[in-house]
Formats: sequence, C-alpha cells, structure tokens
Amino acid sequence: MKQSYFLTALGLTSVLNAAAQVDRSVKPEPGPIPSLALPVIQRSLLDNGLHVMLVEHHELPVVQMNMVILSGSSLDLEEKAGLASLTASMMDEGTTGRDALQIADDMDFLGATLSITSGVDATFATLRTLKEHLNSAMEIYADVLLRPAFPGKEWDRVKKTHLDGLLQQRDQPATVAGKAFHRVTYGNAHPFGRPPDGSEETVQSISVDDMMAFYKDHYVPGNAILIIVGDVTMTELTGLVAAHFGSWKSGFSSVPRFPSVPTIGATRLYLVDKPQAAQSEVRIGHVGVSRSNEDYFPITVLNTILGGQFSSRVNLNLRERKGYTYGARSGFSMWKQPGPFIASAAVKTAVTDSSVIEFMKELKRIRDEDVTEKELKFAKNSLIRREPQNFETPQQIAGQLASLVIYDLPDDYFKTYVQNFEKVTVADVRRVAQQYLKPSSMNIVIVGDVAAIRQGLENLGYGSLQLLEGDGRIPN
Amino acid sequence: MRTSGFALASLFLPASAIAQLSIAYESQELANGLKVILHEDHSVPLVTVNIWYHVGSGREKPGRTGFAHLFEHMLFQGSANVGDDQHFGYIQEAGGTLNGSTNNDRTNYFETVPRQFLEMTLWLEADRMGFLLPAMTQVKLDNQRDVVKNERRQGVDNQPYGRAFECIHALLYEPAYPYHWPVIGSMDDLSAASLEDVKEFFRTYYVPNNASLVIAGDFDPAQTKRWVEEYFGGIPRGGEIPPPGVEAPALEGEKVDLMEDRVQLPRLYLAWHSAAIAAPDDAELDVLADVLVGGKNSRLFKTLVYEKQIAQDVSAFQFSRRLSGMFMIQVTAKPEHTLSEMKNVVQAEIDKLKRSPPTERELERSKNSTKAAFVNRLQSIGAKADQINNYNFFWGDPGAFERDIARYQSITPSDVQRVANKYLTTSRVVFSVVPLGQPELAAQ
Repeated sequence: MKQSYFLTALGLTSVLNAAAQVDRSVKPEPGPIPSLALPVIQRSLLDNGLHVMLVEHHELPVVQMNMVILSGSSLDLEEKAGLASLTASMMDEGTTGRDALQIADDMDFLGATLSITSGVDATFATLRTLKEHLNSAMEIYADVLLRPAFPGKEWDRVKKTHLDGLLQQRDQPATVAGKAFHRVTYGNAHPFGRPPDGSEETVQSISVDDMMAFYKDHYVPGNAILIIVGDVTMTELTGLVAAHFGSWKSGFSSVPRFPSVPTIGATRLYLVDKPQAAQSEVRIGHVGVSRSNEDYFPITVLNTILGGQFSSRVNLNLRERKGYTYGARSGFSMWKQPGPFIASAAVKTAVTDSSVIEFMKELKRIRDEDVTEKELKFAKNSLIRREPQNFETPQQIAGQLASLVIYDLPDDYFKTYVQNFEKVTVADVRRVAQQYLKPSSMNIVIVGDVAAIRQGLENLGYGSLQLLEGDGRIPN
Repeated sequence: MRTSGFALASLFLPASAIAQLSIAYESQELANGLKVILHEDHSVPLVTVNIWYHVGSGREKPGRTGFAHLFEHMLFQGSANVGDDQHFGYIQEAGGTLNGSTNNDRTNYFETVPRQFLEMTLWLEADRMGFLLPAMTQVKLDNQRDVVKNERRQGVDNQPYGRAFECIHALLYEPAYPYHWPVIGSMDDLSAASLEDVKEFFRTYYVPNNASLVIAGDFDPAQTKRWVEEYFGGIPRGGEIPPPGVEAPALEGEKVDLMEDRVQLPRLYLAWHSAAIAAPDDAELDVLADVLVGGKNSRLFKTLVYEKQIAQDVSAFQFSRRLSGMFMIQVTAKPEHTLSEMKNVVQAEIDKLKRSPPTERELERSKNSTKAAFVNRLQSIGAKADQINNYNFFWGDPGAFERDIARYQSITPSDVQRVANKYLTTSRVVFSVVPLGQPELAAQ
C-alpha cells in the first residue's frame, strides 16, 4: 500500500509524463458546464385552502416541512412591536392537549426538531424528522400549529426571558448598531424602524389575548403554504396531510397597509457611545428597494461588485488593502416593502473616520464611474454559477421555495435566473447605482468610543453629530 | 483490494430504519505522504475539496501565540502562481464558497465549487501547499496581522463575555500545555510574528506528509486521481513530525476566579478535564451534557430556567480535543441572582446524577436526537468531507462514521452516572464573569 495508486491505474510512464507536463503557471480551464436538475415541484390543495408544495428528495431518510405563514413582523403595530415574533415563540409552549414540557419531550423522543420563528414578511414553522417518525412528528407539528393555547403561566416566563434578552443586547455593539440604524432611517412610525423583537415597553404591553388574536387572524390555511422536501412521495403524503391538517378551519388574512417611508435629508452622522470600545461598529445607508423591484437583477450584480462577497470593492479596500477591519460588506434587504441598503463593518477605533471616508469613496465611485467589464463578468459568473449551491440540501430547497411563495415569483423563476443575470450590462449597473445609491443622503450610524472618535468624525464635514440612546432613540 | 491501491470501504448503519446510509470512500497515500480520500456523491453537480493540515495552535511556541491562525490567513494571500487575493477571486468567480479555520489541533481549508472547477481548485490548493514562500512578503504579513487583530477585537475584546474562554483555559491548563493559550493569540504575540516565523512554520508543518486531502461530490474518480497526482505528487515530502508528547493534564482541587466585564447579567462557568476525542467516555460525556441541558426537559434547563426561573440560559458540552477534553457548564443568572446560587443548584443536580442514573426515557431522547444529528450531517458534501477528514485525523480511520454512531447506541444509564462521578469532581475551574463593579455576584 506504499506505492501510489497511479502505478496501477495508469502505469508509471504515463503518469510521470503527466506529472512532468503540468504547467502550474496557467490556471486550469473549467470543464463542460453540467446540467442542473432543478427541483420538480408537485402541488396539491386541501379543501380548507391550504396549499401544499412537495419536492421529492430521496438521498437521505429525512423529511423537512416548512409551514410558511405569510405574515411577519412588518405587521406589528407601533405599541405592540414584537407581537409576530413572540406569538411564534409561544406556539410550542402549550396546546389544548399538551403542555410545554410534553411537546418538547415528544419531539425530542422522536429525535425531531421543531422551530417557529418570524421574519419580516413571513413566519416559518419548520419540522425536521427522520422518515420513520414522519406520522408521529406530523401529529405534534399539527397540534402545535392548529391548537396552540398560549398559557399565561408560560407567557410570564417567556416574557421575562425575552425582556432579559433585550437587556443583554445592550452589550452587543453590532445589535445596537443595527437597531439604531433602522430607527433613525425609518422612524418609529414605520415597522422597519422598530425592532422586530420589540422594546421593553411594547413587550410589557403584549398579552396572551393579543397573541391569540394575531394567531387567529394570520395562522389560517388561506394565508399559509406547506412546503415539504424530503424522502416522501405525494401519494404517501396526501393522506398524512389530510389527516393532520384537514381539520384546520379555513380563512384568509387581510392585506396590511404600510405607512410611507420618511425621506432622508443630507448625509448625517449619528453616534451611540460605548466607552473604551475596542472597535467601532459602522452602518451607512438609507432606504433601499423592495423584492419586486424591476431592477432586482442589476441591483444584485451592483451589490456583488460593491460589497456582496469577499472579493468585493469595500472588503478588498477596507480589509485587504487598509487592514481596518476583519470584514466589510454591503447589502440590500429586499422585502415586500423597501428594506434598507446598508454598508457595514466593525473597524479599529483609531481608523473610524478613515473607514467612513473609504466607504463613502466606494459608494461615490460606483455611481460616478462605470464598473469594468472584468468586474461585471466576475460578478455575473459568481452569481450564475452559485445556483447549484442553492439546491443541495432539503433545507436549502425549502428555503428557495419559500422565497418563491412569499415574493410571488414566477414559476419559471429558477429557469430564467441565469439568463436574467446574463443580460445585465455595465450601463445597467451604472444606472441602478445612480438610481438606488445616494451617498449625499445617507445615515451614518456608529457605535463606539465617542471620546476617541468624535473629533475625527466632526472633521468629515457631515455637520453636527447627533448622539443617540442605546436603542437608537434621539434623547429628549 | 491490493491491486487497485485504493482501500475501499463502505459503511452501513446497523439500525434497520436507516440501513441505506453509508459513506463509501477510497483512500490512498501518495509517495510524498499525502493522504487522499475520495467520496462520490452525484446528487448535485458540486464538488468539495477539503484539506486538513495536522497542525493547530497547540504547536505554537511561547511568545508566538496566535501564529497558526495568522498563518492560515497568509494562505489566502497568493502563492507562486496565484496572485494576491486571487484564491478568493477564482473560487468566487466560479460560484464557489470557501474558507479555512484553525483550532488547537488542526487547520482546515475548504472549497465547494461547481464540478467543472475541480481541476482549478486542486491547482489552487497544490500551489499553496508547494509554492507559498516565493509569494510571501512583509507587506502581506503586516496587512493580515492587522486583519487578525481586528478579528480578535470583533470576536473577543468587543464581545460581552468574550475573554472568558481564554481565562478558563489559562486556569485549567499549565502554561506549557498546548491548550493553555487561545487560538486567536494575544495582541503582543501577533505583533511579534516575523516573516522568518512564517517561513519556518510553513517548512515544518505545511508538508504533504502532515496533511490529508478529501474530495467529495460529483467527480470522475479516474480523472480526479490523475489530477491529484499531477498537482500534488511532485510536492516534496517534509521532515517527520513527532506527535505532541504531553502528560495528561491534571488539576489539584478547585480554582476559583472572576472577571469584571461590560455585561448586564453575570455568568458562571464550571470546567473540568475530561476524555479526549474518540477516547473511552467521550460519547458518554456527550450524553451527560444532553441529560443536563438538551431540551426543556433536561435536568438543568428544567430546574434553573423553567421551574425556578433564576437563570436566563444554561448550556453544557463535552469539548473533546486530540490530547484531552474539557467538560463545561455555563449558566447566565437572571437579574437579582448571584452566581453562588447558580453554582449550588447546578451542584445539587450533578449530585443527583452521581447518586442515581438518568431514566431510560432520558437516554432514549438523547440517543434519538444523536441519531438524527448524524443523518443531518450527511446532507451536504462540505460537511461530509470535513467529517471524513475528522475521522481520518482523530480516529485514524476515515470510515469511523459507523463506529462513531454505534458508541452512542450502546450507552446505558449507569454509564452516564459513572462518567458524572468520574469527571465532575471538585477538581475544577469555577469562573465568574460579573458586571463592572459587582464582584459580590461572583461564585464563591
């Protein structure tokens, strides 16, 4: 076993030739592009209006279920911020037939995992189980989704844990920076200006009746899609879904109205003080675009070049050239309503002002000058060739399907994805940069040691600095 | 299988319901000592390349802590035929993902790319294994030193409780023991690292006979073997690297210490020496952790968080490493509660487990969750490749998957009681992190 395998596989001579011929100075060319089998989506509809989507995936004996409820934290009212999120977290704290410990014990005994969390536009109830336990796991899953009890005793505990968790967030500079940015950019009147997990006052005001009402309004079959990916066929599934979800009372959720987004004036600097901080957390941006924006593809290419991955302009500049940070990035949060565009990094305290200068330089440059053909090709290749990685595991496939249903994307979305990126030109990138990035009208939020960074930041010419409270509020 | 030169193995799980699971692989050692392991999985047109260099922070010298990790950064800075930042560039333009990581025992590098880029990825990994030094410069070292210092600030110094782990390691292990100092290193030592240090570390440890290469996913095995030989076969073997020779770490009695930090809530850490990875008792200690903190019905969660509601969170784990393990319990107290109170409740629960074994139901919950976790680990080729390298290095057998699962399935309640008695003794570190100016909250 000491000899190398090639001795038997090829014979000594041919291999020595091959080894001698390899020219390391030339990057090997890629082989032929393989075809990617896109997931085949099977659909069915229960009498109560629940849509079911199935992708068969028989590689492993597991089944992933994702009940997507098309309501999330964007529906929270100002005085009840955190309601969608807390309702989700209370779902497995008791049903009419099982208490909190029983639910956990039954799930753990099957080795199944259940998680219910809300996002901005939707709530996700995810079940992962071995196929051998599918029926038993679905029974608990349906119990939790159809018959939650919101017991007052459990809410007292969950509420206290949640409030103490909010207290702990004050120590996390990245969390503070994100919340402060949202607050100054959207204002407290807009749902995106408020933290999705609420504030101390709003959480205190939430009752089990509020959660029961939110549940009844939104957790209804007409507002839900059950996505299933795994080692199961539609034939096997039909009976199971009907047995466990057939009794779910039909209903639809009303469409919410959103307040308009405030406009930002000239670029302004906001500071949250964290005395003696080792770093400054920097967030720069403004209101961005919605997921339905017609320029989705060019905007994605733009951001890939600007700050969407390691080999992007802001990271190569602030990290690899300047050594200011462990990583710099940018991103558009594209939701049903326009989420923010944010460029961000945690930078060494002494170079806080220099980091803002470099970020602003990159934000202006990508508007004022065309990106190079090489950069464009790099970004498009990167996005197009990444497609197979979106479909490797059942979780990834379920996540892709969820984005289709939440954002009403066309059925041929995955099929046309490649050509939609291929169409993007240098001129498109320039146009969307000018249209959607406004460096002269951005909020710059920094969480750091104010005594150490204030002077440098004042010299940047963005007017007077505004100090913020830890939660992003402008102090009285 | 002598004639093929590749050892063939296929693993089948004994449990009936998951009988179709297996990790089939072929392995061989090149003439220069590089271990090569191939695992085919044609479900998606992707392939992963995963290299482990069998060196971690445990091999660092005094005054040069953080070096193995700083060195890991240097491996992304180009080599003789790959320009600055081009490693990231080529992989990202290929639509791939990549990273590297360093721990006490090993350093790994991995890329997942569409299958047509396998040859390019092997070329990249071979170039930095064989031809790194011609491209190494002081400028690059200085830049990455700054990046790593920022990584430390972001992940340790500017994080609540961020420095607790390095304090606990310093208390638990003697100064010369390889786990005494943190992987990320100290700022002073990072400043002291020189270009000559980089070169010496590379020549000693980044040699084919100290590495293992796993390729997993959708590839043509015959073609892949030829590429591996072409790109890696010509890299010369390095010197022999003796296994680290250290005494088993020991602790006499209880070491109690505290740190004041910018935190709202105090946190208690209890740490013990425990079994090394894959050693007897390693799996039993995992189950012990599960009985203590796995799910709402676990002993510590139920008592501290659910019933008494005096703790914000609790966690426990068996941190098994090559030379020895560490068993740790962490509890964050709620406002108005002290860490001595936490310590007493935790101790009472430990004592209960020492006196009488957990129930069959507790064991079944743990075993079933473990079984599901093993299956889930097989979902991505990236995770599988790293797992194979893990088994190869720590178990001396790339196909240890089956043995690994089997050891959990045979554990009995009295095994859990036995390891609680054996390891959770009064020889331990009791470490408190308390809000600034409130040392009275610390555990006594």
